[in-house]
Amino acid sequence: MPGMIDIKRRIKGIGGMRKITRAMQMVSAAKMRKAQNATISSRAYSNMAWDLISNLAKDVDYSNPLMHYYADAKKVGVIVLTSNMGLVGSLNSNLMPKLKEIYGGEIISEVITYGKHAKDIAVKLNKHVVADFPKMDKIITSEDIYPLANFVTQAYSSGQYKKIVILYNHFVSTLVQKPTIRQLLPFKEKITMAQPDSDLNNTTYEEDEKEKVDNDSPYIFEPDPKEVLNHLMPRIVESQIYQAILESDASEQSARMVMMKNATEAAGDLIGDLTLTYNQLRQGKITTELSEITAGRIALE
Amino acid sequence: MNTINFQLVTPERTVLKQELVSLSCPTTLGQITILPHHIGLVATLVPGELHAKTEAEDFYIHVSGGFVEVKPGSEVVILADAAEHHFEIDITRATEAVERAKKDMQEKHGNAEEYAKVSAALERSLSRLNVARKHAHRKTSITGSGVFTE
Repeated sequence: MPGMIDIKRRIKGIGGMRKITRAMQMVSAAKMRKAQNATISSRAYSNMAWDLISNLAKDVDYSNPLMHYYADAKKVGVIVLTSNMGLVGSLNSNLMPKLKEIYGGEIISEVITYGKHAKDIAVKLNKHVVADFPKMDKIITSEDIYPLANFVTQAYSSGQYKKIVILYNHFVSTLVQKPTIRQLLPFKEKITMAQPDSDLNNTTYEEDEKEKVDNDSPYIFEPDPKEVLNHLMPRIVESQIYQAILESDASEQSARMVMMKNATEAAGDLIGDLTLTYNQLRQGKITTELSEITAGRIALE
Repeated sequence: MNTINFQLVTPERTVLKQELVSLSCPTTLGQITILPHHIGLVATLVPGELHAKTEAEDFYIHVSGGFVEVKPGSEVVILADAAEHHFEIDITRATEAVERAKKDMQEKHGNAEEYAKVSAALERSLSRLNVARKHAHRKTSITGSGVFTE
């Protein structure tokens, strides 16, 4: 029977695929663990850097180009972080509606891409890509993002951009990744829309501070505010970008792991179904043959 | 409490989180020591040795630049570019790094920007080696609660 041979071939084929997806699941599970650890252990730094700048923001003069707010600028720079490879479900395409949100009024948005899929997204939405940075397929160190961070700080210092935002998948848990827009620059506006938990810390902290310190600035700067800020501002931008990249990495690996797990399970289900059909056909064939033999015997008698 | 609530973090990890009695760190204006109830301060760090002292033990850590933030209320945060406990530094590899930096220095003196980068790298690797050598005689088995390992 030709149907049976076909089914047998399909069972074999799906079995082969399941092996591959299972292997990919193992690989991404290992990568996921690494990426998640890196993300979580670096959150402390980026949160503290963020706290520091929020604490300082009210005392500093705005002479640093990164502290300016360019109200006349018409452009918004968007850094889009995606994965290099596919098989991550809707992870990358989930970013598209978010990117559309930024688009509004007279504002022109320009895109800085990181990861191969970011370019596709930009092309689909008809965005102008100003720079494309290759994504490395390893856990990056903070030094690896200097070129990207430099580009961003220079672009912003040139005064052409109203703001710079970063669009990425925030890692919430292995099963949940949230497409997120975060404003990198300018800092001042960002402070009002900071995350709720860090806001809480800030307010309580400010209250204690008022009780203890009466003069204007509770901080001494060494050697002087300008010098410290010149060092600090690029660092903060770097740390925020770095954190976003790690988050996006962890999201990618988690999403891939989950996708591959689903694929492996789906293959298992399919094999079960096909095996059942195969067995039914086989049994049917045996029954037919038996009844033919019996019928032949009866005819002879 | 007469202790400092201290945290030393780098972009990659948290290196130390401890209650300290005192903390010495190298800033652009020289080595400073912070005691509990210090006034609010923000300073840039230069490559060098950081000495964190608790009641029971001493931590010697190499930092290669960063910031120290003293918050009012005996809370100190160091945002370091990179930091290592003295026992984490491999002396032979640190020596190699110094040699490499020295060689780069001789080869790349044409370009001012590159030269600045290379000399900074040399400074970092030298101070790293110094910290490692200075404390090489100490027992390397510090496993205090504040020490984070990967």
